[in-house]
Amino acid sequence: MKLYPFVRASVVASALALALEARVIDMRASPYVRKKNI
Amino acid sequence: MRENVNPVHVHDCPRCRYDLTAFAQFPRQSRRTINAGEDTATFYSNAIAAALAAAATSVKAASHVEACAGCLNDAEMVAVQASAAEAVAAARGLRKARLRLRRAQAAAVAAADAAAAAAAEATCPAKSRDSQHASFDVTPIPVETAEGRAWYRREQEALWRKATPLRAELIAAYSAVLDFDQMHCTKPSGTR
Repeated sequence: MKLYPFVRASVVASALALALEARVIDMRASPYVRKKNI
Repeated sequence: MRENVNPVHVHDCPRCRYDLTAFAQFPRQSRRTINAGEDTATFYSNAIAAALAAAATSVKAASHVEACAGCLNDAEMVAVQASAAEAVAAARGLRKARLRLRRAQAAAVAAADAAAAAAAEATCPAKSRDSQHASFDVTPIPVETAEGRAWYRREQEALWRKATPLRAELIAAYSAVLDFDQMHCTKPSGTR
């Protein structure tokens, strides 16, 4: 984000989208408990 | 003093006949408008080419004046002076066309950046709060099983493939900033 004035806005947006995607994958692979009505 | 209407055919100086012929074909500058289907950059590129051609012909006319000033009649002198005036106008038009071309190119780059940003925003999963849950895949990956671990590995590899070009672009941007800093920013002595 600190490089924003020196890189294109599309690159920053892609980096944030990729970070979000990585976070989702990590969450899906984290230890979990599948119970209803917790 | 000779009377003539067309200096090209009456002027009989063999030394400058060629120059006068080219001079008679001087491309008259006129206000052009963008034709249908012609983009802005092409229009200004054509304008620059026309101005350069006009300037080159005017240089020929100027060399003719220098070489044959003694044998020019009044009509020829008037025509040469008109050519000099057109050369000044052509140079002015050239400067304007170059400036407009640069502005058009800057506007095109900005528009392309905006379009790319809009496309990235449209594909971003966090576009709005309402669409977050709908676009997030929350299917658990059972990493306690061999199949789940293989699945997780495939997901990570797909992520790595997506990240590779972005990583290269970010490294290039960082390198450019660091190079600029090294070349143009002086640091106090004794600091690293």
